[in-house]
Amino acid sequence: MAHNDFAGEEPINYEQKCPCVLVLDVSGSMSGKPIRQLNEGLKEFREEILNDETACDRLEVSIVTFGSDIDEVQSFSLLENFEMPELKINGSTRLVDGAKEGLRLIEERKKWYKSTGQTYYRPYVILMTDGYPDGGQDIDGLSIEVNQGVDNKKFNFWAFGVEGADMNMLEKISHPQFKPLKLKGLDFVKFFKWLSSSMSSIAASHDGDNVDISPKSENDNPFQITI
Amino acid sequence: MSKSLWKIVGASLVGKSHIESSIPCQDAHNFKLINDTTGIAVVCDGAGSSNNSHLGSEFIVKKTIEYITILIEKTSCLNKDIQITHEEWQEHMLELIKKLQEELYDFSQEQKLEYKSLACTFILILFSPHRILTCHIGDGRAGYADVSENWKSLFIPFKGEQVGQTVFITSDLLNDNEHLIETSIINDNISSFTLMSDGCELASWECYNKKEDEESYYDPNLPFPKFFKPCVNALKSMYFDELSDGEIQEKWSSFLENGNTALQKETDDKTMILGTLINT
Repeated sequence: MAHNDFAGEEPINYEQKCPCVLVLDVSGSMSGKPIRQLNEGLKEFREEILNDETACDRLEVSIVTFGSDIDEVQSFSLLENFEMPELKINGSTRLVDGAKEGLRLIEERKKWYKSTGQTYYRPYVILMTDGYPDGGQDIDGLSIEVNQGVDNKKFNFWAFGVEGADMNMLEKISHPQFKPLKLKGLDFVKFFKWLSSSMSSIAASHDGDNVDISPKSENDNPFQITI
Repeated sequence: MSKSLWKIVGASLVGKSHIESSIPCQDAHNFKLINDTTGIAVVCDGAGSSNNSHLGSEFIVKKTIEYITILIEKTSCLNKDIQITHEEWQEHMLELIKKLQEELYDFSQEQKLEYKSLACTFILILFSPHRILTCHIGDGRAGYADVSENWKSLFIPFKGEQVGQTVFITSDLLNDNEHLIETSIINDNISSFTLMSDGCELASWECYNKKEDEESYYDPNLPFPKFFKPCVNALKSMYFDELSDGEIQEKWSSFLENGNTALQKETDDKTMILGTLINT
């Protein structure tokens, strides 16, 4: 250090956590190429986050799958602490139950943060589906829960559809601030690259409200939208 | 004959995340010496979720300096021989905040902006070698060092459950919760002081530690001496080496940009004012 330069060591401060739950469709229609691509995309997501020194210390990910069963295949953890699970096909499409489980896990995690004196970034619920929910699933109830939660800044909820998804249903459950988007083909790798980049920006932000996470170029754009 | 004077440096830097999203620096700061040994310093941090908060921050900083200059003249509140009670100081500050809110509202009407879009936090320090008076709303940090160079914090920041949640000068919550406008008077021998937006706290403040049980966290709210002591020493040596204000300012901005790992990593706007008393 030169004599006439400012210098100062930083103290050890722990990182505040940014919880994100991925609610993923593993119903029968995802068999074959879609589930392989989804698994590949998840691995890409992990690698990208681990390469970001801020996000890898802040982003806690949980994974819930929905088919005929609802499974929490990964509980909240930093990505460095686990390998991505290999998702397997599991029957029908209990989408609402899966999404509600994601919301329940978020509330549970928030309680844990509070009980341990931690502040946290506004949680994200990311829902991904390629189909129509099973009959009897309470779409209206989920819609109310999602919209109230987003309005009250309890969490952000974002739904994504793959070819074949019921986009009208996704529109119905989503908050107007987070309109559902449809993927181009089965490019889960590009989607998870975008998601990792978005979550990195959110985890590095001070206040998630104004973070611009739209795709920056057509090349990075995993969605059927024009930039 | 020996004399004392304050050397002060301050900067506001736009955060990396704001540059990427083309958002202006929402922090603002200013300081003013009334004479060699007394002065005012203000820092405001505009709300990330409010579109015009950069304008709110600038406006509040400017108006505060104007009002406080008059208040110091009127009350001699920094005069060592004049005693001021906490109640009196609090009353002055409640009056100041009310005036600032009214002026900010008028400004929003003139500019055709929503009042709440101008939301910002507020940290004010009046300083002399023997006294510091503070007022703050929201988050950010402020502290001072006594003559033995023991650094102490000046207030507890107000933080919500979620990162970035705090209270602003425009918040309705202030109407029924005057305690959120925190004021204090420190009568001590002051050697240095600092005030900053929360964008600088991880780099300079102990604010997020693990408890001994290793399972829960707390905010010790302590200025980190290994950060401040070298900075104060550098500021003093720059003064004695007769560096110009411009050169010191440039070095301070560059230090806040990337002076340590936490400053480098920080993506939020960063503002810090540092003042030290020089005895010649």
